[in-house]
Amino acid sequence: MSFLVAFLVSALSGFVALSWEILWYRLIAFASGGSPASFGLLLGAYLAGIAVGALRVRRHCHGEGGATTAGIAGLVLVAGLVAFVCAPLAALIRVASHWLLGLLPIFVAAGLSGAILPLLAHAAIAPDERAGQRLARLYLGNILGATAGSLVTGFVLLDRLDYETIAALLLMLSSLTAALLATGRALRPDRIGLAALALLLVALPLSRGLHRGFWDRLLHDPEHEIGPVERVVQNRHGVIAVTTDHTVFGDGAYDGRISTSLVEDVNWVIRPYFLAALERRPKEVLVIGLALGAWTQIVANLPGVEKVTVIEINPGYLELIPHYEPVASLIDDPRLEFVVDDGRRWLQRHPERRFDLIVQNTTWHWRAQASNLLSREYLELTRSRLGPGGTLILNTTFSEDAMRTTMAVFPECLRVYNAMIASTAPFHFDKERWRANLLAMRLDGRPVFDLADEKQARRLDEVLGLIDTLDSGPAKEVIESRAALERRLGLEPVITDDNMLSEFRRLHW
Amino acid sequence: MEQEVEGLAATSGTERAVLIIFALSGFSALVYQVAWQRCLFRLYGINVEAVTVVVTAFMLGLGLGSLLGGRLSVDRRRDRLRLFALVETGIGVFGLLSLPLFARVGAATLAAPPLVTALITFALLLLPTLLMGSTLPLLTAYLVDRSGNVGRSVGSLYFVNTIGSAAASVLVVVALLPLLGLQGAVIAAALGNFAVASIALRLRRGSARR
Repeated sequence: MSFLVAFLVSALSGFVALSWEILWYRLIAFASGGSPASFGLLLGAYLAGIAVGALRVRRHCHGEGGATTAGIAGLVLVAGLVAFVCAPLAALIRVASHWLLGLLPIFVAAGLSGAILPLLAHAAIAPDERAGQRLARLYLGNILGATAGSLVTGFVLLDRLDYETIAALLLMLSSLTAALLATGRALRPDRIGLAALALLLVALPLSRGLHRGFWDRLLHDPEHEIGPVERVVQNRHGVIAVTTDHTVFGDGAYDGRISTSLVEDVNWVIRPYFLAALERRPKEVLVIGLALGAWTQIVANLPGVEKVTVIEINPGYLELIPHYEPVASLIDDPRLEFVVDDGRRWLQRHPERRFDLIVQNTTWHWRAQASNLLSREYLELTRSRLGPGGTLILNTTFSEDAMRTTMAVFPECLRVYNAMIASTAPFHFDKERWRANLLAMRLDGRPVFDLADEKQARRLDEVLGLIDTLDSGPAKEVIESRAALERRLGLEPVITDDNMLSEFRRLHW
Repeated sequence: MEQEVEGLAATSGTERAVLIIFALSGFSALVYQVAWQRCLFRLYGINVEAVTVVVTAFMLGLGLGSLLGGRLSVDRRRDRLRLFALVETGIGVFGLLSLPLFARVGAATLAAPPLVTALITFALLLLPTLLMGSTLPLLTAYLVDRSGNVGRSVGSLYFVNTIGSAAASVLVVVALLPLLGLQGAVIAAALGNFAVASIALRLRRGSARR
């Protein structure tokens, strides 16, 4: 085998292998709901597969012997096919068992892929004093291919194509690589184009068929009944799935329900509505984490709000919002400014901005990287962006560590369900003000409560009763003062950038 | 599979020791990758651009390092184990300084435009990844000299290094980060590099005596 062919195959294999790794990370992150362990375990299975693959081919590397070129070509093709069926298999396994077992087909596919480079090296490199240097070049080809794979697949393909199409493209690329090896020389570009087209015509419908119902299977949860997935947005930032009952999943984790109704309150929107019980009238609001916008719609309609800056890392939510009536009007509201960015980075890069209210309804505290938006360092940054008498409302997603951390940074705190309302200055709340504000509030021109409806009038009294639950105990659906929280939870430990406690105190599997 | 593992076991004592330290080297490298990714994401944001820059910087650094190691490995007069030990020491020293260095550079370049940020991230990661990438060809050349078989040498080294990385990718999330935190995990990885360097030097002295 010529060194040039070996180099090209090495580069193409690197491209395909790293592209699959990116796709599999998306798959496993979604299946696990974004567990902090998912990346490490995927990488572990992937690397262990590559290592075992490399070890297994040692027997084919004796002296002058070794796998034939046709044998290596066959291996490239089989590796491509096995990688192609990994995701549908992992989704079936997810339904039958635990997502962790979905790593098994990935281990096998990575093993086949890991066998390619040593076989190529043995076939194309003579065992002389230049072996190290030639190996370095072959390895460089593999790494350049892998780098291109990470850039092209992670940056371009994932933003424009769905999982199913990229899987078909990668299968096509593996088939072309096998053909390159089998023929031993590069084909003419027009022939490559024709072959690619023919392969795609087969691979695309095959991929669509194999991945049918795929996202539903990955969301399968026997404990919580949800409707089938009705919309999926896939982009380079992740996968958002919305079910027919308007439950939203961001990368496989529950993101909330698309409802702003305090009458039904299926998604505990009483938490942002509680801001209307405070004596404060925020004008300038910052929202970190938009998702499908239920909280944003509510705070944008609090009495007195003039401007709302919304930071969201995934623009896919902005594509979905117009489809859902309770939040659709957000997009055209001239008071709202949407910024696609990382919340922490945006805060760091805008030291000049000050807000009367910061609203943070971000993801589960146990998810990978969530501690970046819950740590003491982060909350100190948030505090520095509040104007005098400014307020923070933070969804702790039941993390007692996050509650303690909020108390470590803000002297004034109140727990409302699992949210913390915090400030540097004392704040007050009362039932009459809340009643008046709730009755004055309109969302899309409709009142939050219509007192002409007896059921709604009763529900309003029930909602206002929340204030009477102050310090009634540790139950979820109550309010709790800082003093009571301190007695119950203490003040240590808190989440820091270094300990990442919210993610690693109890690893979420 | 058993045959292959027996094959590994059949290698000489020195070769076995080389394989063990290369596994530890792979372990440390992956601990750094996870820790540095987290640190850089915090400084520059967890958007896909940042993820891609970190992954690309790692890949290219490793690739260029491989070329550098390949070039150094050609000359048989060079003491490859000594070079390897020096490289591991360099990785460990950088590791110890890495988190404070990233924090300082991150704070100083916060307002920089995205392209400049990407270049800075790349520059920060280039030296250590270059060093990491150079280790495989150096040890390949060392083992090929002893065994005369490229495929087996590459396969063995690639296997142990990758197994070390695979073990690290699991252990870093289930043990190192939960027990030691970010800085603690990086210090553990640096200690791993220093241990690898000192064993490599000891092996070199042993070989020279024989």
